[in-house]
Amino acid sequence: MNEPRQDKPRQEGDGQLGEVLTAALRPSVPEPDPARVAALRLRVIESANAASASRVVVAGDRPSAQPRPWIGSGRRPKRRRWPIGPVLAGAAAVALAVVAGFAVGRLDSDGPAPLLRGTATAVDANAAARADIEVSAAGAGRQVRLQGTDLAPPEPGSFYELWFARIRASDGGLEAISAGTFRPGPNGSVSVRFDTAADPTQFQLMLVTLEPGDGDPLPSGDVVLQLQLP
Amino acid sequence: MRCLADGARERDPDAWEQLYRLIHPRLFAFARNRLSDDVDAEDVVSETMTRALSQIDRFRWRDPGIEAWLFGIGRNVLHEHHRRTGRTQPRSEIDPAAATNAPSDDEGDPASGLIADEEKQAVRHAFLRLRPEDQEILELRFVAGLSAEEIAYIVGRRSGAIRMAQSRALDRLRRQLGDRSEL
Repeated sequence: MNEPRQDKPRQEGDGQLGEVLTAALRPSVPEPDPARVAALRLRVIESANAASASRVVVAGDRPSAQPRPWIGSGRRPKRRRWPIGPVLAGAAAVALAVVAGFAVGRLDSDGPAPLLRGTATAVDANAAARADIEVSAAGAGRQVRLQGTDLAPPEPGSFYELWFARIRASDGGLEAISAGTFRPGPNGSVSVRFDTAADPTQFQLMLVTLEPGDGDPLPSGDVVLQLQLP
Repeated sequence: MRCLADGARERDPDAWEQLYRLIHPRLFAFARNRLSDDVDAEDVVSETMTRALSQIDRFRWRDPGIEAWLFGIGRNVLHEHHRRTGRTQPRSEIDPAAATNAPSDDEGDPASGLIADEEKQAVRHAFLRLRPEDQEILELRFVAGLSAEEIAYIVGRRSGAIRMAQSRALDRLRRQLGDRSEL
């Protein structure tokens, strides 16, 4: 739990009543909601993109500064919806309109032609985990292929989950659609393939979270990897 | 802190995340004390940061800095929330479930803990009988932990006037507490 800042000395005259007042009124303060932090970072990136509309964004591009983790160590408490905040659909639309040049390639040669491909990088700058992600057309739907390395072994009962994520136009909340779950091997590597109906052009991010296995169909774990989509 | 403000102006996501983590404990505490649940308080913090992002080009550094600027936006968000939800009457209660952060002084002694809890309850009741202006000054100081200079920036008054207002608010609180005036 965070505490309201206490590094400033009490002013003269605050006295014991001030301390009792703090004890009587000050609420418990949870860790910042990781999903809200992620939503803010996304808005900042969109704002920067809107401000430099001529910049070409490639999947996996990061802002000029080396990002710190999107997500803190605290676990998001259960709540009635994923993050919120005011609508930024306009900024999102601008961002989606100006990006181009998305990398096209293949993880290897045995899959269908990819619609897009990128490398999801660790939100923790000190972590080596990463995953190459490729989305390809597959019949009426899509197929997502993920090859990850250096993924920490999940606790028993927990697992990694891949998500398509975007800011909801109606209320500015961040919503996510699961592409699938997986667990890496003992060496931290994994290669999985998921079928999905999600259209990647309708999303702004792909996230890999470490889910606690709590039965919550929404993301409730920490984001481990993130890939900004064009 | 100026570097953080510069990073925010340059729309550096790291700078914005740091600002969020910096402002969250105090703004959440201030908002939660005035709202009915955690989610609404988190909404205030999120809305504050989103507005700040849209207004960052207008921010010009001056003491006491960007934290106070953010808190000023948060205070406006909270006021708008109250207007939107129709809460114009003075508060009649403080969610006791929210105000449970600070432990009693004598946690090992149940009797002492009970007294401490009663004391806190009495302070809450007395606090709610204060004028809204007094409540806000005391909340900004003792719940959010802001300095007189920061509060002055936020409410648009001089820091000396804030110190005087705080002192008078505490005096009025003491009078409301009556026989607990040893506080």
